[in-house]
Amino acid sequence: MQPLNDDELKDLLRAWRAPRAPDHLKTMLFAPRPRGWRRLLTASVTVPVPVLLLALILLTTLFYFARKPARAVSLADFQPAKELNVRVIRSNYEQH
Amino acid sequence: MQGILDALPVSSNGRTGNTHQMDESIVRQAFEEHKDAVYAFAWRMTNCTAAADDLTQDCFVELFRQSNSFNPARGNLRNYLLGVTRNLALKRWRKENRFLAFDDDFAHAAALDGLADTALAVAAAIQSLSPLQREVIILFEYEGLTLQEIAAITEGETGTVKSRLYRARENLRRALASFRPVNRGF
Repeated sequence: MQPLNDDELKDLLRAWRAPRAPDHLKTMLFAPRPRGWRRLLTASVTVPVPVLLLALILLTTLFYFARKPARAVSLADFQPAKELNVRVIRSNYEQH
Repeated sequence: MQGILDALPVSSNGRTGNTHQMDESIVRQAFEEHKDAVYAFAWRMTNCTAAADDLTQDCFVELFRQSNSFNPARGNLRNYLLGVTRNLALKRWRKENRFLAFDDDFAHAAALDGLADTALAVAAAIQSLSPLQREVIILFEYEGLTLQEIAAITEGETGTVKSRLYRARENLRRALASFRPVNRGF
């Protein structure tokens, strides 16, 4: 097939029309910053992954130790002392 | 919703730490005047609405942040914005086609058979060009830029732009031959 000439090519190229810029672009670029409590509700923070991982490890460790029950103390093994050797040490003040 | 320009970090000097930041009202004015040209160029370069949205936004954010890189002596603001969009589009293309050579001469065989719509056929044929040929044909045919202006935007030689445009047209002439416009009888 014979290639197009300049005019035919220009005619064809004109058929491809681009859309206009959508309105939401302006909103995305220039929307006003939210104020007060709205800002608190919509604010976001960026956390580096290593910091996030460290925080997760710390939280998991804390949670683990918080849930671990304290060892029960029993008085069963306690026996009364059979012999008591009491040594009384007097203070310097009492010796005088 | 918070605007992208509002989300830029604030410093004691102003919104960004960059002392060369452009006043937001100027960016707004530039946006109103050139958004359609920037969007149309981005859309034709990518043939994708979402990508065109991203590129247009990034272009104006770039203008806000790096206004010192705009030199009126080197060209008008519209051409500067087209240049920024061009760089962003090529960066995106490189990211998406990491294993394809950024070759000036390649052109995929456009699959135009069965396309009833001429506009779709033209779109497919232009997308089949290499990015460097595509940008030249779009800037010349659709944005109406001169070879010198395109050379300034692409930071190349006018001769290179001219030969690229010639090759792009040759590829399109062949690819679109079956879509020859009907004789209108004058």
